[in-house]
Amino acid sequence: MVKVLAHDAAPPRSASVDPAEIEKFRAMAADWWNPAGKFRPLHKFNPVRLDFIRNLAVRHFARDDAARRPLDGLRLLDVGCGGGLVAEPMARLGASVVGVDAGEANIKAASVHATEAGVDVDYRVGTVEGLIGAGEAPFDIVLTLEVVEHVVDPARFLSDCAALVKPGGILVVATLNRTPKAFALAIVGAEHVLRWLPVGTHDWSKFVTPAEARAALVGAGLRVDPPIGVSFSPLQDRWSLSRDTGVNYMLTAVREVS
Amino acid sequence: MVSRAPQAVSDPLTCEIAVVGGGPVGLTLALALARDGADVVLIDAEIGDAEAGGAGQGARSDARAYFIAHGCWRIWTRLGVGEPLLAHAQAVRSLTADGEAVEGAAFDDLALGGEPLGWMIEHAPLMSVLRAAVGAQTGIRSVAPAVVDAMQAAPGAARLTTDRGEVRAGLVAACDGGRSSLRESAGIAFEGRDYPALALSLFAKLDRPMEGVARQLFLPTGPIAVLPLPGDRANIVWTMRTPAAHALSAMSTGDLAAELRSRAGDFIGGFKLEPRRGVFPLKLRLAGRYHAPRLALVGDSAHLVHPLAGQGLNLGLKDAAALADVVRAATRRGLDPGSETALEGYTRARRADGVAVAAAMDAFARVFTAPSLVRALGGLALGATRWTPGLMDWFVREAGGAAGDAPALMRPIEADAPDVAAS
Repeated sequence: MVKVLAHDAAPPRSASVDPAEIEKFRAMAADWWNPAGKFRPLHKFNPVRLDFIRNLAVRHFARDDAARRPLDGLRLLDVGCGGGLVAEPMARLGASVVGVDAGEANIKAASVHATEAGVDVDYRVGTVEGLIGAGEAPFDIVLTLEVVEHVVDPARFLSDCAALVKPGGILVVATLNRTPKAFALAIVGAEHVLRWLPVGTHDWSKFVTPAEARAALVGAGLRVDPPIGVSFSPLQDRWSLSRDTGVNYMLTAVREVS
Repeated sequence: MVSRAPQAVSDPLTCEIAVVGGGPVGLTLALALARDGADVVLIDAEIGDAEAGGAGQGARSDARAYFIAHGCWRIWTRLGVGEPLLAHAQAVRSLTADGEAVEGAAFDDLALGGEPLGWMIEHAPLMSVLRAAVGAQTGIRSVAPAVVDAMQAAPGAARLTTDRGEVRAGLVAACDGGRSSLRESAGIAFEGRDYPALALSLFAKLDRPMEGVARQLFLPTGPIAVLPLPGDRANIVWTMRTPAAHALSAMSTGDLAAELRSRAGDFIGGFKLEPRRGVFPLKLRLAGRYHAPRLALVGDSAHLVHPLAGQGLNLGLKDAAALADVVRAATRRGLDPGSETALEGYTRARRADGVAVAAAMDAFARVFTAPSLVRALGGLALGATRWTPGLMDWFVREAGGAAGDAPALMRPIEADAPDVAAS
C-alpha cells in the first residue's frame, strides 16, 4: 500500500527572501491558478485566447503547427501579466517571455508559480513606458490582454505597446467594447447577476471600441486586422471566437517590415 | 524497450507523464500519449516481453475475453494496432437474447456500413500486441518490474517512490486497477455495492459455428452469455448467485461441462470445455472523482463494473482516449497537463459515463440477485424475455460508441479532416 506523505510545502530557501513573504505569494499564486477560485472567469476564458495566440503566431511566423515548442526563439512581452496565466504557457510553447505588471504582488506570485512549475519567465514589476524609458529591445510578439480597459490613457498606452513591437512582429490586444451590450453582459451580468467578478472590476466608460484601438495602433505605425469577437455560450459553458465584437474582442496588429 | 530502473534516489527519472500499470488500459494510454509526442514512463509490476511480442511468458494467461465495442476499437485502429489485433479478434455482428434478435438504433448505422458491433478478443493476444507496440514506440521508457510505494504531489511535479528508484512526473496516470494504491493514497473515495453473485468465465470449442452472434440465455439462476471467439471457440460467461457459483467453480472440468450441458445444452449445442476458468465477484465501485493533484484515475482504478465481456475495459479505453485529449489540448496551449485546470476537464469528461454504466449494472444486478418472487415479478413487469438487461442493453448503447463529444481517438476515421490531431 502507498504511504500517504505530507504535501511538499517547503518554500525555496534564499538568504535575501523572507520565507513568510514567499508563503504569502505562494498562496496568492495558488489563488491565481485555481480554476475554481476567484479567477475562474479568466481560466474559462484562457483556452480560447491561448489557442488564438498560438494559431496566430504559428501562421504569422510560419512555424510548424505540430511542434511541441512552436514559439522557439521568439521574444514575447506580456503587458499586465497578472499571475502569469498567459506568460507561463507562452514560455512553455518556446517563447522567451518578459512579463510586466504594475502590481508587485502579482509579479511575486507569478514568479513563485513559474519557479515551482520549472518554467523560465522574466517577470518584472513595471509598465510599458518604463520599458521604453529603459531602452528595452522590441519584441516579436506583444500581448496586452484585458488591460487597456483599466489604464488611464488607452490611446497613449496602446501606442506605447505598439512601440515595443519590432518590424515583422505582432501585437494582440484583448479587451471589452464600449457598447450597451457590453454594459449589460460585462457589468450587469458578470458583476451584479452572475457574480463572476467583484462589483467595480470594470468601469464601462473606460471600455475601448475597436475603432478607437485601431486608430491608436495605426497612428503608431501598425497595420491592424479586423477585430474578432469572443463570446460566451451559456449552454456549452465555454468561450469561443465569434463574429460578435459587441462585448469581448481581440485585435491583431502587425508592424510591417519597412 | 525495457530499461533498467534508476539505481540511486539521487538520480530520479524525470518525465512528463508516468503511467502506472501495464494492463490493456495503461498500455493503450502510454501508446496514445507517446504518439502525441509526450515523454512517458511506464511503471509496471510485471515484466512484459515487449521485444518478443509473441504470446510467450510475458503475456498473462488471464481467463478473460473482452467485447470491444465498435467505437472503442477505433482507438486501437487510430493507434496503429488495429490490424495486428484483428488477427486475434472475432467480429460480433448480431445479438440474441433467449433466441430472439436484439435490435437497437445504434446498430442500424453500423449495419448500413457493413460494420460489426464490435469484436471479441482474449486477454493474452491483446497484451502481446499492445506490449509489442509499446516496445516499438519511441517516447516510452519502461520501468519493470517495479512497485510504487508512495506518491507525493508537489507544485511542479509529482514524485513517485518505487522499489526501483524515484520517478518525477508532471502527471501520474493511475492505471493500477480496482485496488489502486495511488487512488487510496490520494484519499479518493471508492464506493459501491457487493452483490451476492459471481461470474464464471469459461472457454469452449463449439461444435456449431457461432457466425459472429453473441447469445444470451436467461436461466432462473442467472444469465449465461456465449460470446464468439475466433476458430469456433466461445467465451461463456455464467453469472449466478454466490453459493451456486462456488460449488460450480470447485468442480472438475468434466463435471462443470456436464452441469453446463444439463442447464444449457440445447442452447449452446455440443462443446468441449477448456480447463482454464476465471471467477469474478459481481461488484460495483465508482471513484468519487477521477483526479487529485497531479493524478488521474484511468480504467478500473476509477470504476469497477460487471466483468461480463469487458464493460470495464471499454470504459477504461474511453478514459484513456479522453485523458489523451486533455493532455494534448493542454500541451498545445502551453498549459500544464497535470494542473487542476487540465484535470478537472478530465473528471468532467468521463465521470458521467462511469455513473451511467454503474447505474445500468446496478439495476441489472438488483433484479437478478433479488429473491425469486421479486425476480419473477420483475420479469413479468418488464416483459420477461423482451427485457434484455445487462450485456444486451450495454451492447446496444455502446455499439455506436462515439456519440456526442467523443474523444478524438474515437471519432469515425472516414470522417477525418486532413489534420486529426489539431482538434
